[in-house]
Amino acid sequence: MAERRMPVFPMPRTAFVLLLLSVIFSVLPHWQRVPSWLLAVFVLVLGWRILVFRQRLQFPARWLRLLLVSAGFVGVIYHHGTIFGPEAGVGLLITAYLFKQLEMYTRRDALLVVILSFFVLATAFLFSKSLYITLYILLVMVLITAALVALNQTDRSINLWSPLRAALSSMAQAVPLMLVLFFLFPRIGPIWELGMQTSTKRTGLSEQMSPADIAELSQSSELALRIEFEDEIPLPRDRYWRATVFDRFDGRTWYAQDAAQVPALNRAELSLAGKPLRYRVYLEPTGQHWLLAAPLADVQGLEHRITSSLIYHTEEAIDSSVSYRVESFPDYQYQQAGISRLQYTRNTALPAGGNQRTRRYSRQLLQQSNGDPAAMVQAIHSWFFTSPFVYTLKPPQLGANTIDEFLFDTRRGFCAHYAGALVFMLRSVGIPARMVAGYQGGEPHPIGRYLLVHQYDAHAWVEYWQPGAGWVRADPTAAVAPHRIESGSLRESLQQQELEDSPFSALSARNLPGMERLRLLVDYMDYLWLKNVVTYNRDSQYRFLRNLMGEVTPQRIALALAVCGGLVVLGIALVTWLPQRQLRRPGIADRAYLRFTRLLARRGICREQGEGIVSFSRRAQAALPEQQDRIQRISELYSTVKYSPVTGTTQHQADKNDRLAALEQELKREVARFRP
Amino acid sequence: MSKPVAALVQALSRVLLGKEGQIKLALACLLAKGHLLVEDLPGMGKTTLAHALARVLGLEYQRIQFTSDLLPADILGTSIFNQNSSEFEFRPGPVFTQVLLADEINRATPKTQSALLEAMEERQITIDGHSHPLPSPFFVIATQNPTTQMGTYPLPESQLDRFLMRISLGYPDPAVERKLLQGFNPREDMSSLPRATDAAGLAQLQQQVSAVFVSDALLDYVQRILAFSRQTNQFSIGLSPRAGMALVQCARAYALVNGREHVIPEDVQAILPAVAEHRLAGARDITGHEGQRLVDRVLKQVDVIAGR
Repeated sequence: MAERRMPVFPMPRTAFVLLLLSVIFSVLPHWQRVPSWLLAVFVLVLGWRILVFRQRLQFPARWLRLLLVSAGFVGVIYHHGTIFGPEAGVGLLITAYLFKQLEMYTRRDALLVVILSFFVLATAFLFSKSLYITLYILLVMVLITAALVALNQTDRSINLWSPLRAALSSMAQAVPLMLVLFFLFPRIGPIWELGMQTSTKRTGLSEQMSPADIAELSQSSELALRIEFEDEIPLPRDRYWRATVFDRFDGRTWYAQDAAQVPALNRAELSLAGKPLRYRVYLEPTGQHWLLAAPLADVQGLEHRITSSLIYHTEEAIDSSVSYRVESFPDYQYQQAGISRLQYTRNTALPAGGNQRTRRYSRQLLQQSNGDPAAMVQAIHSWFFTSPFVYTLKPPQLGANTIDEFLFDTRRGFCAHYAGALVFMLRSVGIPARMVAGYQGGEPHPIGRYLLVHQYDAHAWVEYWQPGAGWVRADPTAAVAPHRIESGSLRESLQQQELEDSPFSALSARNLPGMERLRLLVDYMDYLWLKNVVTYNRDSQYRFLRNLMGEVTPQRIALALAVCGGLVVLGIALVTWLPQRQLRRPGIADRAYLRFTRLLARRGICREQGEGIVSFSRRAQAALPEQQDRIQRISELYSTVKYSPVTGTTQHQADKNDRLAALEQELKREVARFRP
Repeated sequence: MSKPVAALVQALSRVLLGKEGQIKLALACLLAKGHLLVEDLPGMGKTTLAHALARVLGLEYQRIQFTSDLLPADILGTSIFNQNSSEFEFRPGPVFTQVLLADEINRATPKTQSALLEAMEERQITIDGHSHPLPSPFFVIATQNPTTQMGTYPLPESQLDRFLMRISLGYPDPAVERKLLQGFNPREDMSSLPRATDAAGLAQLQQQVSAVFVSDALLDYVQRILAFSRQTNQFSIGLSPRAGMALVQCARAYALVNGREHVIPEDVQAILPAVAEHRLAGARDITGHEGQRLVDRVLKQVDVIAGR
């Protein structure tokens, strides 16, 4: 069957250029998420489309298009291994969007591409809501709108500025309305939810962790959270942001507690003391169920439960930026009276055999410290400090008895190794202990009063239980690499050659003072955005509305929406309409004459828009013979004022003005007396 | 109506029955020192109008019938070698006259057309490096058949622009037509047509045209018309500044023809079709008469009164 040749819509050149740019910039935010071969296809398809536009090539035949699209779909699904989840979904969308370029025959197709561009662009919000991506999306939106404008123009030459200006002005008019809707429109929970966490790979702490994972995290300079303090920022050595607990060890890997299975915290076992630390946490999406906080914390503003292992567990995974207020009591004591049998068993469990050297050495240390857990931890710390232990992110491979080999042979490792070893040693002599993961340290921001915590601040430490004191924190890393804890600086804890491929080499630009300031400023803008816009949710909206109007009722919300929306629309109308109005403000004579025409219009004699004064006068006279004289007089007066030189002989401007004013007044009087 | 102008209109009405509107327009065009293009089907009285105009104005009159083999020299004249004086001697062509009727101008080739049009613009011709000024006053009244007819070379826009007005006469009223059928021959009456004025009188009238008062309000109206023709996307080209000047000048002349010393919007509206139609083109214009529809729009949609 022969391919039916479609008549191709002669797209305006400007529209084509703008549409092409729209396509490129809509896909751009996803370039790292789509398979790399798709980018090559992308370039090829756009090249093909350009050649079609320049009439060097034909559109591909239908069978070829079908083949290409199917191959694209299969490729994307193969790449992601699923058709579910946002990444695969966006990949498929982009594939379809891309090949649509090759069948853009009609005007309708072009409009479809415009709408698809908006849609593809909006999917960038699935992955990031930062200030910069938002600005980018706004800019590209202007571009796409300009393409839409250009599709309706008929210029033969390329004129990008005129559609861009039209798009900018319509966007500018939409912004105030957008703000009103953003702040006032009720936020209804989503009807369906996208299973973001199922496929999204996020950098950060995860449920299972072998030491290597933390080492990998240390390579990432991505932001994990920001902490805004109400008072002083605590010292680096007190900055422990606890996330989760690893309490099961299989000889190689530590496993996180399934917080959902752990009973809730019993407040009676808790005693809080000291001055609380008040702060607000802005957490980047983690895809996990835990909140970050310094123990022992009172978290407000986010639904959660506290487990008996002090994990702040949320029902929903954290898939978007959240913020919550925290009040922490660093000098807390927990379970100093005793722990349950279950907890004891769980926190002393070890694999049955292996690591005999460590077990032996632990018993020896326990004897030396007279069975006191604190003294034993102290002894282990000083052993770490005095023996040639090295803090490194590139530890050698370990064999079957990981702890033995680490402690007695290689002696090279990082926080997870030391914490794991300490927990093992304590457990092997029956002292309950567990590994705690979270972030340690953070970089104070010089402008905003907040702390930047990055992924490379990920840290693992230890909590052991001591009768009478409860759970106590111990950080063996402090003994090996004091800088890591004391100054929060990983950099100084590492040997020179390791810096080469650590995140700091990438950030060596930090040494330039200007770059450093720029980086911090960029982060500050993003922080303000996050603080004020992204985390504006139903609760903050409720607070805002309550401040605004006292009691929040649907009627009041509707009223506020109507009033604010109305004001905005009115404002825009005034701004665009007033200058024109001012420009052609009618004078006295015009107003009088317009009144005259209105009076006549009531009698059904309407002046046509293009009708002259004389013609109208004649028509009106014919329709109202009894008012003939008056109509004649008024029309003559107006015509004289407007079109005749007014003065007969005088050349003086003053006389002229007087005469003109007299005529205008007479016209006014005549019209006032006019009763049709 | 001022006396000489009234007399002119009256005299012309005697040969062109029932065409007072067109007569006034044609007169206004000449008073505004512009050339006139009359477009109509053959046999509608175009030639009669031109001839009668020349006669009542008391001007010299020449007629050229344009054909497809007409050459520029046939219009402008040629240099001929005089054997007695052994010199080239210029023999002026028919263009050396006061009123020139260029009949069926669009039957000639563009080359010949442009020879005439140059003369119209410069009011002088140049042959063999010698300039020969044309008599004053110099009017061209060109007639053309609708461009959709066979054997026509349509005038390009730039040349149409040289004509201040384009009018068409249209079919006569039934009453007038009856009179024609009864044996009234306008061409025979031509000889009995009185001379209402002469070249000097005409110059005086033209002086009066420039003295006609144009108010700010009227210029506002004209500018609204110009702006409208440039804004609306149904016009592929809007009115040029030259067209705007032509509008005002014609409106002045038309006011004078109607015996007024100031211009009112109705004057502009009366001359607008004649002045603007051939300068406006629609986005998809084939016949050259899209302008008519567009001018109608202007008349309907451009408000005479500011504000509202």
